[in-house]
Parts: sequence; structure tokens; C-alpha cells
Amino acid sequence: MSLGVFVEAFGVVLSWPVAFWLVAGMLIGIVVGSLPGLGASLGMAILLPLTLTLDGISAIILLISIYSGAMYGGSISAILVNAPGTSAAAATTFDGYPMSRQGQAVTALSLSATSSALAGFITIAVLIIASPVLITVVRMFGSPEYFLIAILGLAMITIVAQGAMVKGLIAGFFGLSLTTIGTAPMTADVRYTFGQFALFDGVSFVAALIGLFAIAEMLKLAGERGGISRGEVRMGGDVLPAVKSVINHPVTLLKSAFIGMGIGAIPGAGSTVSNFVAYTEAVRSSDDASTFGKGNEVGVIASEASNNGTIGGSVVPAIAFGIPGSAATAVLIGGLIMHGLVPGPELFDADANLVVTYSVFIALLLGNIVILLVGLGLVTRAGYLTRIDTKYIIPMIIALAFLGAFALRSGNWFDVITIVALGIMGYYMKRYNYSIIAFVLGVVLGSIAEENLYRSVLLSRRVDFPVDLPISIFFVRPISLLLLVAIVAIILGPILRPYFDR
Amino acid sequence: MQRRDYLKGVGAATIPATMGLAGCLDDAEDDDDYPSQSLTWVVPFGEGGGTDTYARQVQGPMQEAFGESIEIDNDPGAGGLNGAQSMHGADPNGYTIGSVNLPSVVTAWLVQEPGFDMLEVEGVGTVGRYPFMLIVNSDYDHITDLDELVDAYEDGEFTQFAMQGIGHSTHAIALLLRDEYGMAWEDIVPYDGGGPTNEAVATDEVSVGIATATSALGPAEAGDVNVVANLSSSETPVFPDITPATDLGYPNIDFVSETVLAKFAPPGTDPDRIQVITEAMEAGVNSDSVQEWSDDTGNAVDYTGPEETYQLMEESISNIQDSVDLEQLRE
Repeated sequence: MSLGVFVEAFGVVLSWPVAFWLVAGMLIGIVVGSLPGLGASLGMAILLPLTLTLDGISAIILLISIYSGAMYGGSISAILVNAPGTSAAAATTFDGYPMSRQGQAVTALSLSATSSALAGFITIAVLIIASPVLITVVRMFGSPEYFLIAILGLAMITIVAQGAMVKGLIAGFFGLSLTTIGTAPMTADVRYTFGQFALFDGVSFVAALIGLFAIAEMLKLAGERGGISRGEVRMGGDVLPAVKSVINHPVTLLKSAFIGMGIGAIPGAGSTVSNFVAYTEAVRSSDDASTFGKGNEVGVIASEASNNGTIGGSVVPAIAFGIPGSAATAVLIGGLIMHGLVPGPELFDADANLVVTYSVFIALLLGNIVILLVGLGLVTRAGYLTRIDTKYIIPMIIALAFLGAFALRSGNWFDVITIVALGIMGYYMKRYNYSIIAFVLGVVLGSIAEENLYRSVLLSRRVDFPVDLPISIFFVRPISLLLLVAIVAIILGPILRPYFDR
Repeated sequence: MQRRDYLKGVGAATIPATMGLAGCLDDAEDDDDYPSQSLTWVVPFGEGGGTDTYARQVQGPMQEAFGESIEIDNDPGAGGLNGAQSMHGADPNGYTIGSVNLPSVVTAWLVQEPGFDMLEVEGVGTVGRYPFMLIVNSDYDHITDLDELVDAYEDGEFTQFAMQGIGHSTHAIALLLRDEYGMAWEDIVPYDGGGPTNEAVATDEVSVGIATATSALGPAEAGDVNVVANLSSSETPVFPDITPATDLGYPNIDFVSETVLAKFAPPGTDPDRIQVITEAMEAGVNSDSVQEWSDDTGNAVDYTGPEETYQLMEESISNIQDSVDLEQLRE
């Protein structure tokens, strides 16, 4: 790395008004992130046209700070009302919300702030050190690897199903089958649209998530009395033990942070996937798997560390190739281009725009301090939200969910139907122990898998392989082979484990 | 491809939803004081793409000339048809225009046959055009021009060709390259738009592919790809050294190999109002800031009036129908 440029970038970020935009962006991000149905990409997109009056670096830092703040902010509503503010915090609901219900909201919020900030800090620091070799690494992933990563995600169903294997597989396949609706990603075939143009682009998985998480939970709450937390709740005094708890789980923290970073660097995957992968990995490696989903602190740490870790990873392909890993980085790319900073190797060239790239990294690094201060100082007091009677919360969340769904695709009513249908379905799935995570993995990964499998089969025609296989390309690329081994290990692991344990 | 595009659009799509509500509050039907409210500009692709970048460059100076604010509404998906359909179905009160790229969006319209008639819309103007180029991974630096590339396909050195999606206009170009230019590929490999296609060629996942002139500039300067052919009949300021294919004796395929950034208004929009919009658009395109941006980046800006814009669409549609087998694009 070029030290001179790095020092210059540090000066830039700390200068006025760049530092102001950094803090403002973080605060805006935390707020939009915490509102279910809104999110980083929305906040960034609203402000994008307004950044024209700013200089390039201020604008980019404002946008990236919103992104980072929203990643953390998503956990607030995930923990307090079981409605993840962003899809990146979906896995946070699994243990964060049960903690709220047990009166541990402050602890959960402190866990989230601490693990988000630490994971963000560590991954960005690593990124800065590794920046000279980043491009080479990103380029080793092509269509065959994307396909296998999607399959790796689907293989995780065997872990998240936790005993209810058949139900887990059914949920997963149902999610997958939903992704077949609409124009096929790689051919012009139109599937299951029944002539409705609104269905040409398929089921929006963001709408699916709003339905499964927000609507289904509100349906459940509607059957209960009182606030979200049960009984008398102690709200204060649990900040420090939570901070210690994060520090006492360094392996989970680091593993989740780097899972997030790795998945974030894969275009198209992003934090929606990484928080599930990190969560399921935490469950897999735990000696105490049965307590997950019932308020296990490690679950919150894993999910929140991974989504802030994802930021660093997803910024790399955005800056290096202009390839978005997520909706938010797509808007970021728009901002870069709007300010004349074309994504590409120039942004890694010390003589050209490397200072912009380093400024972005440093802003992300310092932004984590804001997360920690705001998260531990202010947000932990938001715990009283869980004591508000549900008769006030349910209408608000339902209204926001409908508004969010309606706005999703400029007023496509189909998205509103989606949240209602999947809300009802999610309610019954939960009630009868069908894994929601398995379902979500199917919905998210279906089209990524389909698109890249199609290409991989085409690319296999060019591969010299002793046997004439339509998928030979998976066996001749080193990273593909590694991923194949990982998939086999995950699928066979639960079957073979008893034999090894003997 | 569409699903991910949606995600990109999720954020921006919400702005006009809110703006639209605000717009309903005042009554703008009074002819005398047009324009009296903001103009919505529907961009049928996500933020940060070529079409969006052009629109955002022109937006500022056009707004000054128009006298009211101009809101860009990204409505991506279905190869641009979502945005085209929402423009087509909008109230023809002179406060909505939409981008319909020629030929890519009309190609998608011909292939997918959604339930609206593209030919009903009113022409407004164009803001720019850019040609498609052929790029080859830089490991194959013995390929320096289109003739050598065509020969390499004939010799079997290359068998695959990367393009930007089934039913996309680059799919039509690929078919014409094979049938009219003799570039005998065996497989076309579709990617999710321009960026991933360039990346596939840069990493040699597929050795040869298609790219717009401006998007090829980055990877070419980085030494990842070589630009070997300009498929349009006119030179491009981005790669002035590349001889246009027609000058090398290949047939003219400008109707697909040149993207025209054309703008239209909903059917029935008052011609007087279109005149006001198109004058503002012309002022925007010719403003100093847009011209300077064009000089810096090589993005050609180019204004044409409402009638000519409508004719360009008619020609584009009939040319595609005449020279491309639409059934092949649906496969």
C-alpha cells in the first residue's frame, strides 16, 4: 500500500466538512436502517441527487456512511420488534428478539452495537492492508464459483433445519420454486406469470422478506396481550456485560466478520446471505446448538458481526469493477459515477484516485466509532419501545410494511399481495416448525444459482476434460474444487458425524 | 437479471412515489402557466448505468431551462419494459417523459410482446448515442482488427461470444455478426448487462465479447481487454483509432449497433407542452457542463427533435423486424 496516499486520505477524512458528512451519514443510516421496509439503499438513493452540490469525496463518504450506519441500524428493530430493518439483519431476529422478550433488550442492543463496530473495524483494517492484492483475488471468482457459492448457501439448509430435516427441505424447495416465477434469467422463457405483466420480473424477495418477518410476526403478536416483552422488564445496567460477552467470543466475532467480508465481495450475494451463513455457522460450531433461536447471545454476535463485515467486502467489487454486491453498493456506484469517479483500476492507482478509495476505507473505519458511541449511549435507551402495547405497534408496522412494499417497485400491487400471502404463510410456517431461514435461502439464492449454472454449462463446452461432462468446468478451477469439497462436507457432515464421534 | 436490477432500483423508486404524492396536491391543468410542477423523467434502468448517467448529467441544466424541477424515476426491470410501460401509462399532462433506448428497449418490446403499443407514444428528443465495440481478452494480442477476429473464429481459436442477455439488442447483434459478418461463434454466453460482460472478457471466462465504447474504456486502459472493432458506421471519439466496421467492407448494422438515448412522452401529450420540454432538453444537452462532461468522458451527446426521434423509433422497429429473426431471440 502507498503510505503517502494513506496519510493524505486520513487528512481528507478528518477535514471539515468531510468529517461532518461522515457523522451525518452514520446517523441517517442508523435511522433509515432501523425502520423496517426502508434501508440503506433507500436512504442513499434519496440523498444521491442532493450530493451533486458536494465535492466528490464528501458525497461518497456521506453515502458510504449511510450504508454502514444502516447495517447496524437494521438490528435495532430486529431485536425490539422482530422486524429486521434491513434484510441484512434478518438473522439477528432469531436470537435478538427472544432476548427482548426475556427482558434483555438492552443487552441484545449492546451486543449488536459492539459486534457491529468491532467487526466493521477489523474487516476494514484488513482490507486496507490487503488492498494491493484485492483485485487479483476478486477476479478468481467467475460464473462457476458463483453457482457453487449459491449451492453452498442452499446446503446450509441441512444445518438450519435443526432436526426437522424434511420440513426444512420442503421450505427450502418452496423458496426455490418461487424464484422460477417471471422471465427466466438466462432465456426469454416467461414462467408462471399467467399473462400478468406485473409478474414478468418475478416475486420480489424483499417483499417476501417483509411478509415473512414483519407481517407474520405482527399476526402472531396480535394474538397476545401487552407489550412485546413479557412481564416486568429490567431495561438498564446490561451494557458492560454485553460488551464483555462480545470480547469473550473472539472466534465467533472474527469468523462471522470474515464470512461477511468474503460473501460481501461476491457480487450478488451480499449481507442478505452473509448474516444467515454466519448465523448457521455459529449454530453448527456451537456445543449448545439447541439454545439458538431462544435468545443465545452468540446468535446476535454472529449475525451482527457478519453484516458489518460485509460492507468492506462489498465495497471492493463496487470500486474495482463497478459490480454491485448489493442494492446499496449499486447506489454507491451511481454516486461515484455522478462525481466523475469511474469504478475501475484507476481507483487503486496511487497516481490517480487511490486517495478516494482510501478515504472511503478510513471513513468506514472511523464510522464504527460512531456506531459504538450511538449504539451503546443512545440506542440502548430505546428499549422502552418493547413495552409499548402491541395494539399501537402492530398498526404502525403493518402500515410501514405495506408502504414499503408498495414503494418497492413504483407501485406494483403484486408486491403488496406478496407480503400479505407470505405473511400468512410465514405465520403458519413458524407455528408448525417449518424453517423460515431455509425458505429465505431458497428465495434469495434460486436465481443466482440458475443464472450461473446456465453459464457454467455453456463454459464447460470449452473445457478439456477426460470425461465429456456438461459441468466439467467445476472440476478444473481450484476455487470451484474447494467449494465443491465444502458443499459435500456440509451435506454429509450431519450423517457422518456420529461415526467419527464414536 | 431482472430481480437484481430491482434491488438496485428499490431505493430510487421510492423517491418519485413520495414526490408523486406531493405532485397530486396542486392542480396543474391550467394551460397558461405550464410548466407549474415538477417533470418526472422515467429511466427504465438502475442508478449508475449508462442511461441513468446521461439523464443525471442533463437533468441539472435542463431543469434550469425548464423552470421547474426534474425528478428522475428509476424503474428498472424486464429489459427496460417496466419503465417504458409506466411512461406509456402515465397521465399525458406534459409532466412525464421516459427514456426508451433504441434499439435495446424496443427489441425487448418486440421479443416479450407485453400488452401495450410502443408506437403510440410521442417523440420528445434524444440526448446522446454510443456505439458498440468488440473486445478481446488482452492475452490474445495477435488479434488487432475485425478481419483477424473473424478469421480466428473460422479457425476455431474462439467458439464462444459474451453478450448482455437473451433478447437484449446485443443478442441481435451477435446473430448479425454470425450471419452477416461471418463471425462463426458456436455458443453465445449471456451476462447480466454491460459490467459483468466486460468482466467476463477481462478474466477470460469468455475470450471475446461486446461492450459499449465508454464502458470498454476502463478495462482497455487497464490492459485487461483490447478493443478490436467498432460496429457502428461512424468513428467514436472514445477510440478514434478503431476503423468503423463498414469502412472495412462489412454491412451497416447501425440500427442495432448504435444505441440512441431517445425520450418519449405518454400517448396524447399536448404537442405544445412537448415543445417546451424538448427545448429545455436541447438547452440541457448544449449546456457547458454537459459538453464539458462529454469532452472529458467521450460520451457523445447529441440532440434531435421530437419528429425525428419518433421516426428513429419507427425505423428501429421495422429494421429489427426485417433483419432479425425474432424467434431466435426468444430461444
